[in-house]
Amino acid sequence: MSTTHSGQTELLKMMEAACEDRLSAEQVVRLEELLTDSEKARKLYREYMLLHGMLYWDTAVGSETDAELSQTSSACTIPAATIPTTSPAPAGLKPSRILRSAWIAGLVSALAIIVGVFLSADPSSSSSDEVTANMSPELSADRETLAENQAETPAAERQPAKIQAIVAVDDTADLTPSQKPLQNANSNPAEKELQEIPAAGSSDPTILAYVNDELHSNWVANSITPSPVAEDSEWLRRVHLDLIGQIPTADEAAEFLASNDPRKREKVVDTLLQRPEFITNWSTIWANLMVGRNPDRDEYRTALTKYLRDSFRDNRPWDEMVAAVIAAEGSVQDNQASGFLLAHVNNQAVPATAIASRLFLGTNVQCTQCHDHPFNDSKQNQFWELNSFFKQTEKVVKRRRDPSTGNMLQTVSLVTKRDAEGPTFFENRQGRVQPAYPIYNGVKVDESAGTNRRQELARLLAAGEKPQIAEAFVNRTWKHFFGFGFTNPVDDMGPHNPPSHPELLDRLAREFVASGYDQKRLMRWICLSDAYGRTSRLTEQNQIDNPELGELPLFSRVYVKSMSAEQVYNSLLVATGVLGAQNGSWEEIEHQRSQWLQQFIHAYETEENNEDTHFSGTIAQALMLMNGEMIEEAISAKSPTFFGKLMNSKINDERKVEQLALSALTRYPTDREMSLIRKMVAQNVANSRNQKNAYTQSLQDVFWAYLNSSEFVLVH
Amino acid sequence: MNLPVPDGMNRRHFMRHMAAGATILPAMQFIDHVKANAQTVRKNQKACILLWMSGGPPTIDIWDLKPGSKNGGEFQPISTKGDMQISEHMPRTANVMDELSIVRSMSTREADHGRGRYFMHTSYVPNPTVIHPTFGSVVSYELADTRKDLEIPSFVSVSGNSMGPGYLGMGHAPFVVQSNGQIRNAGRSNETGRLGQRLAMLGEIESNFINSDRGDFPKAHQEVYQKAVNLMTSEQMQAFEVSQEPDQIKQMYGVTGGAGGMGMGANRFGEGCLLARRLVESGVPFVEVDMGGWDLHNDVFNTLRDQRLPQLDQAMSALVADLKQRGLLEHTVIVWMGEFGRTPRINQNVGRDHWAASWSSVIGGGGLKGGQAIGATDKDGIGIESQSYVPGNIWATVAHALGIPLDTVHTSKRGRPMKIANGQPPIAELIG
Repeated sequence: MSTTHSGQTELLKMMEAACEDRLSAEQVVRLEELLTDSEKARKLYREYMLLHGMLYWDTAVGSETDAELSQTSSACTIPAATIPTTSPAPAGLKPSRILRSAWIAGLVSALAIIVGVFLSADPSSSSSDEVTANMSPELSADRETLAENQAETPAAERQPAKIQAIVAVDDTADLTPSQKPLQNANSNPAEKELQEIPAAGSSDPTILAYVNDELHSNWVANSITPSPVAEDSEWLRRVHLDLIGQIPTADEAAEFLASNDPRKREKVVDTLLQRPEFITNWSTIWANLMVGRNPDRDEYRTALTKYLRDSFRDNRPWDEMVAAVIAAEGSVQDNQASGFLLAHVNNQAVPATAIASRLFLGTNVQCTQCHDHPFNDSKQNQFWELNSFFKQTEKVVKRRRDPSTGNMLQTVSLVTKRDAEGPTFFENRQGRVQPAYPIYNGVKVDESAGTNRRQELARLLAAGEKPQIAEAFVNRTWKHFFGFGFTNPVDDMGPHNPPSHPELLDRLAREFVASGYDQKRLMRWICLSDAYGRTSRLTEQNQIDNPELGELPLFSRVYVKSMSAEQVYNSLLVATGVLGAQNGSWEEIEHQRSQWLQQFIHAYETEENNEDTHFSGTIAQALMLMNGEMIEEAISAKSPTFFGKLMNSKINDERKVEQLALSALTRYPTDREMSLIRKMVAQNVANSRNQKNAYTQSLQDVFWAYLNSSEFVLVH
Repeated sequence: MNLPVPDGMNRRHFMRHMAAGATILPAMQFIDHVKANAQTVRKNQKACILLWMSGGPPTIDIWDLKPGSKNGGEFQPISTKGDMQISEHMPRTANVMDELSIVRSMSTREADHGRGRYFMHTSYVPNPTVIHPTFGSVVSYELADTRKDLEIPSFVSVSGNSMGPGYLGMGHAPFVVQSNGQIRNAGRSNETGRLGQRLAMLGEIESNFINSDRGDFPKAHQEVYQKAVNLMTSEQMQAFEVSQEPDQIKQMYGVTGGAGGMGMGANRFGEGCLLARRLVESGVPFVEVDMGGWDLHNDVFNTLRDQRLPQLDQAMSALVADLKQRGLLEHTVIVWMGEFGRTPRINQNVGRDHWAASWSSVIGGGGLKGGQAIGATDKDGIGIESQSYVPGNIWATVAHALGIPLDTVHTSKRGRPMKIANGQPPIAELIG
């Protein structure tokens, strides 16, 4: 399925001609041949047409808002003959903007296509499918409701600009026969047209190849060369921080750097996925997201963290975890998963509604509490319809005396109101009270008293072939590793914010569902992808891949992230050499950590239960790393610390310095660093009356400097 | 007063190491700052104090009462020293309203906490492709040249996070402190002499990483370390020591137990205002003080009467009077605002919900004209019956008062020119 270089040149020439309306009949036939023969050619063709659609779009509409872009280069021009327009032709466009308005561009590209070859699975169609999916879910359990719902939606709206597939492609050739039936069983009429969408449930190598191919063809289309493969030290450090929330130890680093095993990266990923720190890391991440670090909600957080720890330990499927926290009843003693809703059913369950929507569905509906969404079709009533699943749940406080101690004990439980039935009510902008029925994604659940609404919601959230919870989770997880998701931000997905790689996101979400919501497998696909293995350095050849500047990410490198406060805390413990050797239960250790974290957390005193940190890159962080107790401990020469043991060991000075660099930065010192350190130590020792002391202090200063570097506090 | 140069630290020593590194080291300025003189009070330096009402205050019950309207609520207006009436639960502030003006026709359209917080702080609506600086960062950036001898951060946020510096860089991020001014981990080490050596080492490691094409963070990191070192070694740190204030001043602000709150406990917002005055007095050009607890969807009147308004009244009036008495008020702009106002209509829980269409903010000092009510809402507080204003108008007015030219343009990371205060004009009635 590969395209030779000369084939590609020919293709490019022909596509150019096609866009300029000067393609002869023979050339049309030839183009058709090329496209039929090669998957790569088809991809290139799609990207190319998309670019031209985009250019047209920018000229007609976008040039006003992005004036600075049209001043840059003059790479491509669309002749007026091809696309009738009254606006002036665009002067140029940064290639990275290709996918910016992919769905609109797709529509335009459909206009631009003048040859008789039409392809299925254009990015535009899957993007519009997303719109469709949001409006009319495919829910096998509720066929009738679905039918009603679809009847309300005009057909034209549901399937905008569907491009007919006349080139039949079997991308599923590499699937085992047992996987194939899945495709048919789950496919719906719309998908039968899209033959190119493969059945989910592929093997890991197939998925990895797909991820790599998809990103690669996008790099080609954007004329960039990805950053080189990351050096082992960079990659090892990053994958540790991302998967287990802490840097590797000096020993782990040395062993990995020395290994010649060609599969060593894969082995590290598989080992890390089984480490106990993996459980701590991911339960912390999700406890922060679900409950936050506000001490007022500590009881709920602690309980939920226990639930999350068990879940990550057992690699519990994500849909089950979502269902458990959404449908939880009782107190944290009865059910630890109740911690999430206990923290958020205040204020008419508005926080529960908004936070569940952001975290599990990747959609930001906060503003629709008060009014319709400014940028998409979400309406105010949709917020309150989702809210209607939660609003009849109350927190009930019970007090009883502990018979053994005589102390009063208090339990807070989630209880569904006894008379819970019918609609709930909200006030619209005009101050009129309106009913809201429990409706999710167009499906209304029985509103009578016997229905457990939250259980119904939990069921609906996981219903269908590619539930939104899967796409939202994939997007968020991808961002965790790469620093940017397919949408920015990850929790405001929707037609107003199209993803950078719609096909890839779609496929990963389907595969994630087919895997049984296996989080570890998803992380494995990401960590072993070609792109994740590359350096975070920008090169001359991919300067445009800079989402920090608002460009869509191309993932031709891994973006630099700031360590979270927890990552710094854990990494300092690793460098101190005491992580895992601390006294006390995990609860006590957790408590110490949360005490320390409080200095960087600010909880907003609003009814939305939000919080914020002021950590990354702040003066407060610098002061903590320069003078804090943790750093003092890390560079303490008293024996149980890594540093103390190193000072007592018999290895020579240079080996000691190497160990310090490995421990803090997962790399060996550069030659320049080494020679500077050598000089400094020699000078200090020579100038001091207490030479041993001067020697120790000098190396302490070296370790201090390594731990205070930006290289330390960044995940790069 | 000169600080002694610690043992083992001399300029030549550093210069030698720095010659090896490619970048200018923090250590170099560090020496300069150790030697710098502690500063005396700077009376003529311009500054701004933002009183940030986190959660969205019900301004219809504070600054723009509607007696006789169904939306009027439980409070009555009282006369003030200025040309306007305010809530009966703000009696002390009423006495200083000749110094402050109320802008009663704010119309800001963002009624979500996060979006409102962003819009009011930056003058721009949120946009995923560019992160705008909060106005404290703009002031820090613009007035940096006039505060070369300032060794403590030029933008301090008390009791809250404010917003980020956006494209102006982490060097202009807010320095977040608690209202008691205590700063963790800033205690001067008894081994100051080694700091120079450590920083020299750090500079060497950083130069390597800064040049590795990994974006702006490593450079910003260096800038932030510079500021942290300045702060650690500065006599100006005393500005944070609220506890040094005389008792009568503390009482005035309610620090030692004052109005509002259960059992008349300490007024943390008052303490924050006192800290703000100390910081401004020491030359800090922008201080934000956060007061939370305004998200009053329920039981708005009791909460206002018993808790919020007594605390606000005491602290705000003390701040104005104290600045005035010290001759600082004419150089110091005070701005009072939150994310948005609250619904004129009283909801079923005797609360008020989010409302951005018509609400008030307060501004004064810094040579601006006080005692006025600018703009007006209709009799029910729903519509605006005058010209309406957005945050850009407020910040342009502040810029004017601080002497920051209104045609100042910054450049976003993507190279897009960004006007300060979103290019809005200042409010004419205030600047006269």
